[in-house]
Amino acid sequence: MPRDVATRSFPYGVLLVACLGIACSGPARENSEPEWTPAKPGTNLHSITIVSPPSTGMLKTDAVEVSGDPVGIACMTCHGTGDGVTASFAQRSRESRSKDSPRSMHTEVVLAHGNLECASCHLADTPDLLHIAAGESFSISESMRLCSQCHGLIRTAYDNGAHGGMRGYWDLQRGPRERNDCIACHNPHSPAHPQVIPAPGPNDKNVYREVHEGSIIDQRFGKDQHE
Amino acid sequence: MSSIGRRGLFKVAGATLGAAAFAKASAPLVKFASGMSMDEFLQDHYRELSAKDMETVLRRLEDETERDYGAKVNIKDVRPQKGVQFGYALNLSVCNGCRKCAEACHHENNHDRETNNSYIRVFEMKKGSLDIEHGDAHYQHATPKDDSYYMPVQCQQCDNPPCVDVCPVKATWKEDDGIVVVDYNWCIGCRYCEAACPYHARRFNWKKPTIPAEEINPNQSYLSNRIRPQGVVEKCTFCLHRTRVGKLPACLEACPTGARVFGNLLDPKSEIRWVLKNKRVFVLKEELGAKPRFFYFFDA
Repeated sequence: MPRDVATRSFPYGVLLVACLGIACSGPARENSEPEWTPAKPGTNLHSITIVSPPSTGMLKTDAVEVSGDPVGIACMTCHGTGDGVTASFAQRSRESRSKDSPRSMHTEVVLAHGNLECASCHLADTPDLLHIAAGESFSISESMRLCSQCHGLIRTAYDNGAHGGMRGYWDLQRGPRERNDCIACHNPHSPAHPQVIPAPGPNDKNVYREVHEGSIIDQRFGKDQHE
Repeated sequence: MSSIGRRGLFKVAGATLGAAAFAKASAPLVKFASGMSMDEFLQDHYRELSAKDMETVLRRLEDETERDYGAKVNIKDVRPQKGVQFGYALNLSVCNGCRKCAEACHHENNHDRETNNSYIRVFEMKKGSLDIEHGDAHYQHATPKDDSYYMPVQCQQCDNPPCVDVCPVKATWKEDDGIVVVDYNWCIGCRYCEAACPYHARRFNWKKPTIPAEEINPNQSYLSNRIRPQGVVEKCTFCLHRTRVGKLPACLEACPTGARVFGNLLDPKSEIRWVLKNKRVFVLKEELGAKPRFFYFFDA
């Protein structure tokens, strides 16, 4: 590519000195960053870590851990098998669509996700497991498989990097990436997002006022220059 | 010999008046240059600097930042990677107008605190309209509003950039990876580029930026986020100090909705290429022929 010789309108003398300077100061700089080429098959790329919110799969209480996270109670503490409570989980699941259903401990759960009830996603015998329509069950840490059975197009977009927040490197040849899982952003029980208070917008109106009143020009050129 | 004649007297008086007028006329220039070191005044255009000169310039700029802002910073000259052409896409269906991108830009790029400047303006737009001239960038209420959608606009890194065409001193140009940059030390502040940009993407530094020392991002580069001098134009560089070493831009990392997709257009397996192939994308003001590299799309 031909190099443009930069021109400036007033200090021709300076330009001349600058040109002499170029002649004395050696060749221009080359690209210093390595060329990007597609990763060869079998190359180890950096990892993509999918992060879940803390204490997923626990009943959050008011008590707080040293780490600042809420103290959680495991599902099976109350819904353990063989003690008669399990049956009541299935029963309560059917009741969960009515507003006055007793949810006792689950005060933070507002169920507003289509027509789903507790047992649509949680396994009735062991509610810390999730299950999909095909019959397979798995831990809550794999919740994305559950979401994907209905939200397939979103999952396709996610798998292609076009849905969901991420941090780190676009180039996995140079560094790792961290991604959110579904429930890091969407509350699975009531997935509609509430409104948010936005970060402050531009505060540029004062500047325009000062420019028009001349105070900025004073600051730079002295009061007498624009009178 | 005769004493000074009428003609001679006029000559002397004319010369004196001329000299006085010249002194008066050039006073602003002298005052303007008084805050500038001789090294800075004699500095070459970015593209003409040798590696050795560049090193000297970077150290001088670091010293100036420490002197003026009390912060130790590291200014690099990060160059484009061969084999990389950057592209960006934004999903308007999920953007909720939270302005986290603009806020992240504000901090990453060492913007003036007083004006809360950012390279990103988020326009609140009425549903059914695509006219950013009627968008509101100053909204102050909970978002998203039912009748509105939100369109963040930043430099579109056009392949046919009108801002570059109008610069009278070639202080702005398009780099090999597609990013349009400004040499802040070559810019004369005429603001032609700001007027030429159809996307309101360029900003003028009316004042010397104010930033508390502890808030300055020390990871800086010459062409991107070093603190800009007063009287020059600045613009989004897709965070080239991050993206040219493989990292994602700050606005993308800050987006809580995942509306932003960034990557290498030359990599057929990149996320940005997937979006271009599978979503119905459009560019702003396509009819102007600026050929933006920033794409918008709606889901579904």
